[in-house]
Amino acid sequence: MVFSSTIFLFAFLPLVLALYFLVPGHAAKNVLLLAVSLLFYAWGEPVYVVLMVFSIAANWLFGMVLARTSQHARRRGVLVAALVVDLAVLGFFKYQGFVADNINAIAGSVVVPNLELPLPIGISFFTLQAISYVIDVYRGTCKHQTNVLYLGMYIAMFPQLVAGPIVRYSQIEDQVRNRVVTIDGVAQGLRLFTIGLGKKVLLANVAGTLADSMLAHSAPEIGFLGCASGALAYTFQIYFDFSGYSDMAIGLGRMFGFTYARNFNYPYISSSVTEFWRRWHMSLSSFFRDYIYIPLGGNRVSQGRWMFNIMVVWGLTGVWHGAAWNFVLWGLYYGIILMCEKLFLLKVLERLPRAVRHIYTIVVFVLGWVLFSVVGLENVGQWLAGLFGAYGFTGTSSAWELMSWSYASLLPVFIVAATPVVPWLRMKIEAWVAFDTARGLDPAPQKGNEFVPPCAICLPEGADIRRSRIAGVVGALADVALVVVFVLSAASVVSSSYNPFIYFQF
Amino acid sequence: MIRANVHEAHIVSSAPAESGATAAPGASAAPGMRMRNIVITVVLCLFMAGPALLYGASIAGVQLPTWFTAEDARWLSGAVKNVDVAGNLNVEGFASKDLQHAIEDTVGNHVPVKAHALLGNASLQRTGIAASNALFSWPCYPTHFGSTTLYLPASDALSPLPDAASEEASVGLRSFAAGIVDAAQRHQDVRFCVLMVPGHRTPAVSPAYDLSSNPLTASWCFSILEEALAGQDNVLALTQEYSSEDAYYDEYFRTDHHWKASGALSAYRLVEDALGLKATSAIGGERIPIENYRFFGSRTRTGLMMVSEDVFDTNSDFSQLQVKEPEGDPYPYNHDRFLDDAGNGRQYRFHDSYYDFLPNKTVFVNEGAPEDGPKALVVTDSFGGDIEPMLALSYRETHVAFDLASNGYWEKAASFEQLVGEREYRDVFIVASPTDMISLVDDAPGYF
Repeated sequence: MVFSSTIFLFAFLPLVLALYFLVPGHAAKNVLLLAVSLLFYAWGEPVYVVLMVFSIAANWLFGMVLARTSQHARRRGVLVAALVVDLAVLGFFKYQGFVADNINAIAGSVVVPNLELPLPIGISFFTLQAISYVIDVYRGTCKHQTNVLYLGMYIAMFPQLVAGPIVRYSQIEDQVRNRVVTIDGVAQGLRLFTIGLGKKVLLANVAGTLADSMLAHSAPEIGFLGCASGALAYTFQIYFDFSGYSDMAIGLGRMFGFTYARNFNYPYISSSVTEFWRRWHMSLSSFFRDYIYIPLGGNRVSQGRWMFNIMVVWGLTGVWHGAAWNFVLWGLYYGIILMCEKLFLLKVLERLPRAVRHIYTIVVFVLGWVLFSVVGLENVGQWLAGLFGAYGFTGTSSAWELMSWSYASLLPVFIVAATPVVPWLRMKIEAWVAFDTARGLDPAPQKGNEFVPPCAICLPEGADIRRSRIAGVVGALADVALVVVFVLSAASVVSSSYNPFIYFQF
Repeated sequence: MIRANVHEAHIVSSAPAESGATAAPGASAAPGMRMRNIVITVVLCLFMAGPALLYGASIAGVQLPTWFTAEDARWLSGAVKNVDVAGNLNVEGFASKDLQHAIEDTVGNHVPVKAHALLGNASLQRTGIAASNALFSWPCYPTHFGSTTLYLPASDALSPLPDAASEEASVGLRSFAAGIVDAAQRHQDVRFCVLMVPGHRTPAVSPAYDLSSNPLTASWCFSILEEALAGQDNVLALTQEYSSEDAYYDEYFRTDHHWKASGALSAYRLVEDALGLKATSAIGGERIPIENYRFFGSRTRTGLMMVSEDVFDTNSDFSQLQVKEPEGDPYPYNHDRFLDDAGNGRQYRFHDSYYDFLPNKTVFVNEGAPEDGPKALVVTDSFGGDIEPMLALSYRETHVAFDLASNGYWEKAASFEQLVGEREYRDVFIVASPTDMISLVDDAPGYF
């Protein structure tokens, strides 16, 4: 089940919300969340829900054993056992086919059969959550959870189950038992959910229509125009899709009283790749930083070892995204660029105008998405050649039939939606109400912006009454706009299943 | 300027770090925030609960207007999924996902104002596309993103996105033609008339053809067919040709691949001239408008764009025709049904009735012709409906087989040879669109 489906939007969510507010007490609410999360998962994966239950039980057990073990070596042994189990499950279901294919290719015959296992939905996310729990218990960052149902709720929690963000147990430990559920929180959650839904179905899906149609062709067929518009469309699609899904997840969490950290902080405004990765999929970056990079020694090692650490982290980041060489290449591509930036490139960039730095970053991440999205290394090579004009402007197609032109009017919408224009406007209004128009506004700072803003205009105490009222009206209009976004999104969701018959009623 | 302490602070969220991250110390939410929060929560929850409320209303027997329910979306979709939740409410149903699909379909069947949602979403996207097109001024553009239906502003018509003229299409046409030639060689005394009708994927005229790199056009298809049939004396290849969009849409619907009454008539005249059929005064060319009615063809549904047009019939007299369906007693051919059903007020019903195909293997008997008069066979797809009665006026018996319809609604004859050899036909007509000819040999490998 996905959030942008009629069954979720019009049945599952309203039903769960109603039940959640009907059942009394945290214990019952937690059990309810576990139950509906397992139902959510089983809806599309009736068999693999067993895997989820196994993961919950195993990690709860490891947590319990860790809590009762004081000897360092034994604790370390338990941790290793937990990691082996979690990674073995992930490795088997996600990478068996990839590994088998590569072994067979090297051997020249079928040595290891490719079992062609369907990938359990969300396994990459819930496995990392489970690992973070066990490691945090091992480190003493959080207490072990004695109630298996509560831990199950954390691991299986449906809002972030399918596409993150990766929520660490330590971040919500207190909220499991002590969270405040208010109408204000529900409203803010609904607002954020609506924004995410709009990003997903009104922007990502539309950009995805162009990206998909271009990616279905080879570069010689579509030339520069097709490759460039396809890459650009995919760039917007993946951002709106992923950040939209994160917004929906964070919004849902807020409806249930949880506060999750933000996962995207306007990454496309970055002026270096280093900055880009501070803003993109922040929960994954911080996971790899805290659980792999720093334990490997981080940058407090020799330069050679540091370079090794970087490449390990980015190789793993790549392969985490998918079991294919494309993704490995994509991860290493970023590893090399980040290493260059840390060694010398950032210093060079600092001397350049911001626009140039920004263009450099855009080129890097757009090329990165080509590595990410084009299937097969040979095709990747052709696409890159196509981007540099190797197949002419439109390849063997005509400019009209590529249909890239039909998306031209959406480009400004995509750009505005991918940049912090709305938070800037909100802050501008707040400054105006406070008679503080000289206030420096940074709507999306790299640091100190860990949480998604409350989707409301916040006023200083004692603010001018007239200006406050105007701000209130603007806020109300923003709510009306959100309702419109919801209606349009719902219409789009309904349309996604539309599949008319040419002939009918025979 | 009046300044005053206003309204107490409303807690926006229970997470202190969250509001602290974006708001100045001592900040509060805008006035009326609590009320706004309640209102938006209620409004959005009501939207989300819409299908449940509609389902409840249907159970309670509350009559709601069709535009408010999912009812109007039925003619857009062309079908309603049968749902059996109760029958799948078991472990097997859940494991096989049949239960999930049944529940999802139930929800889908109860989405309020569903037709408006579908059309509105497409319309919004089309607005964006039209805005983009303002920069390029192309003569046609998709009806929504990803749509394979194009809107032609100059003609206010809907047309398909052209397919590519592939080698497979060429091979398909040549195989089809080879089958006809084989049959013609076996039946030298029968005249075979192949009428290629611009069809579903290949309108006779489309501005998209000039904009595409390698379009599959009706004229490309006909040139292959004509070449492949050339040299066989008892085979004739015909097609309708149009010099402009205006001429084409005078005889074909603007929102459907089928011909209007005038298009069927012009096709008949083409055949009449080519075969020297006895011209009959029963077939008239006068157009009789059907009042208070608009036609919405199948492309309005595939393109989700409500383009419509007036409709008319021609003043033909089919009173001497009797219809013998495979089952039941013969009855007089009632062309007035066309007019009667048009008045029932439902757009899709008009479409359905106009192409109210008589069953496969129907026989037209011309009571005005001698009993030992010639017989004809019409092997066709959905284009047959209108031209059959006109052709039938030149024969004692006209047998109809829908063997060229590719959608599988009718069972095909075992083979073309079986069909042609069944009776002593004087003429065999093959009336179909290029795509149905192309796919025939693949769909039914043993047919020829």
